[in-house]
Amino acid sequence: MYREIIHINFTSFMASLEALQDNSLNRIPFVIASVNTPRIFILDPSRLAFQEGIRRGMTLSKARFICPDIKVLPPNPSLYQQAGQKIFKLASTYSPLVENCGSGNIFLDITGTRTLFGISIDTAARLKLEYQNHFSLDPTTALASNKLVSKVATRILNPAGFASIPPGDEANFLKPQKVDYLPGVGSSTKARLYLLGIRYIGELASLNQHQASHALGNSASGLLNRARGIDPSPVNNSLVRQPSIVFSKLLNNAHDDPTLIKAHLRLISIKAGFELRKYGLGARKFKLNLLYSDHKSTSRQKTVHCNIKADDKIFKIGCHLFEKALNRRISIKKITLSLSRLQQSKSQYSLFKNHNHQLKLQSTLDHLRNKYGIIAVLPASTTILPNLNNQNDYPA
Amino acid sequence: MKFKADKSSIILGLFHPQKVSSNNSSINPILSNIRIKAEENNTINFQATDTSTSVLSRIKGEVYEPASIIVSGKILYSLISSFPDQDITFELKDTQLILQCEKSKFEINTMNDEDFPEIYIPENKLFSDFEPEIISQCIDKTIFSVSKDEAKMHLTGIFYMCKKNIATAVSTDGHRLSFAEFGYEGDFEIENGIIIPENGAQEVKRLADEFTGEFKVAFIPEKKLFAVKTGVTTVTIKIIDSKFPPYEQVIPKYESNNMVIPKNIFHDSLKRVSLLAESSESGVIFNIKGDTLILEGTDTNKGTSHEEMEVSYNGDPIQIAFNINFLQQIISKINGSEFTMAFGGDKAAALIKPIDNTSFMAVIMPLNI
Repeated sequence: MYREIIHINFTSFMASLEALQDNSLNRIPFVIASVNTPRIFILDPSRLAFQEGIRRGMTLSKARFICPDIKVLPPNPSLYQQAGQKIFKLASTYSPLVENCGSGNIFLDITGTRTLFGISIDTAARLKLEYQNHFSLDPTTALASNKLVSKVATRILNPAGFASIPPGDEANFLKPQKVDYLPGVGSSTKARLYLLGIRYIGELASLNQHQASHALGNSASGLLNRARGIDPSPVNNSLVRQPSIVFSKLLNNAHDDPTLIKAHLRLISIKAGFELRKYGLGARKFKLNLLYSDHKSTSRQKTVHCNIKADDKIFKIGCHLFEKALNRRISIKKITLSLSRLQQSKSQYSLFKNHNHQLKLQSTLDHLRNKYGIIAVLPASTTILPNLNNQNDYPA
Repeated sequence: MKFKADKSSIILGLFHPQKVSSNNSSINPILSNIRIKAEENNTINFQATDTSTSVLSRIKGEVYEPASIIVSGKILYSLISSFPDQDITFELKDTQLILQCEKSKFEINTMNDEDFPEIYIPENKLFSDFEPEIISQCIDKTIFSVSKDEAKMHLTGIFYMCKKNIATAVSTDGHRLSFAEFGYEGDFEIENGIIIPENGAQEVKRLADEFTGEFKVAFIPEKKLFAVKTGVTTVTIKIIDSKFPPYEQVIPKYESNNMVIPKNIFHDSLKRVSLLAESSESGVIFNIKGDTLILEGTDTNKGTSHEEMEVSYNGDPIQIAFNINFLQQIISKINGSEFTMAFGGDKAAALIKPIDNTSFMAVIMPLNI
């Protein structure tokens, strides 16, 4: 039985949402960029800006060199988050297996839904139409038998296209496409392939394993499979598949007061712990990054023996890493805590009763925070923080 | 400072101090060094400490100029180990320690020994003879379940009690508990028990395992120190000054629901199930019905496992899950061909005991499935 995977790609997701808020933006090229930072990178270019040659990740100075009159809008994370949730919710009505890859990229596995929603190509077309009607956004949509082919199809048909690649036709579809479209081909791999005279996916697919290993090293086998349209990876709707969860805080005014920074760290730990427990996960690897006001950064990481999910333990590790990372006498601009090696954390019963008290306390706090928000109950040490009421102040 | 000693004596003297000093750079850089003190009576002392465990080794040599220096334990031990089996001369010139063995000559930077902490060594009269294999067994059977969580300081060591010629060792991390009990001869007693930190316990076990003649122990309550002494080396350990939880209360006394399991078959099955486990914290589900035990494991990425074996069980059918890693560690400490596992319900502790031996038992809490 063939799988039926839909990939939905909202081109220039952030910029499109901003244009929906302000129609005048549809007529001019503009970019989304965080202007509070001295070295400004483009987060998302609008379609007109894209046509001008401006790309995501480009510095603003370069973008202004290409297009001197370009308008710059600051990011609005809450708007994107809300829109992302709505888009995900609509997709979830068609399948329980929906993977949100962020930035308006969604995979749906609609295998076996034919009796409910009709043939799969109709379901994909209906979904695209619903996004047009409900959100005034026209996503690029592709249906294929795996994630890879559907993703390549949306890349090729960008913006607003629609395609269905029949099962068994994956290799033929990929054959005439440029290797640039293949996931996993970055600038260095592309340069190497071009050096070998390989410009199209079909040329890469025709290499044998021996030739590919010589040319591409360890990544050869994965790339060959991809070039031949083989991708068994499932659509994951669980956080377990994500490599890490990251929380950061950009400080409005750079600080060098460790007490204040630890208070921010405490709040980040609470958010991280809450997120972990929500999905029944524990983390084993922790990394703290400090960005100083001169834009140099230091980071420290720690791997622990067991799954950690309690706020206090996350905070304790965070403090330990903070003390190790703090090696410069310069104000701190941003703190980022990353939790990785996430694993399903089965709760282990405790031998002694007093251990359960901690668990009960944590569970009660989670219940309250679930109902009234993260900041409903906070440790006293966080009261020194300004603007505590802003729930979106610590983006994940 | 200048002295000469043969390589094997120096290695013997350096072995324990360099073990204690090797991981101390994060605590205090000076503690990653060892102090070498050459005395007029032709004795050479090697000292190291990590603030919790301190070691002093005394060897005999030919001392020409008595003095004391501090030098990196790791470098010194590596160098000496690689020298041929000949006499080695240590000589201090300015701040350089010159090591000479046959035609090899090395100069190592030294440090001033003023900053090195003084190490307390109990007097000889405080020590009592003790059987090294008893203390080694006690530590071996319990050290695996010591907690790694520094927030639970009282669980980061082995509770050790010597009373009425019975040595008892207990350790727990809050989810499992191991208990060992052995009879001993002699008049040494620690009536109320002490908590020996994990690092110190490992050092004591090393000393006990290499027993070559003299083995003495001492407990100095006023200094909260536990000490072990062999012919060459004395280890003093600062005990954890905290109250060990009431472990007797959590050791269940089940009358029924006893299962007798063949150890080797179970061990092999568990090993196979663990190959498909997500992590060392993954669980294995026990389905026990009649005289059949079914072990099941699931990994979302790798697949599922199913193992079935014959056991002898006299209780109600039960489904219960345990941490695979915990079980494997306990099983590895069981001698004999069979052991018993007793249950009090799917949320209650299980008691594991060897069938022909009462000196060891373990309690393990189940996972919530």
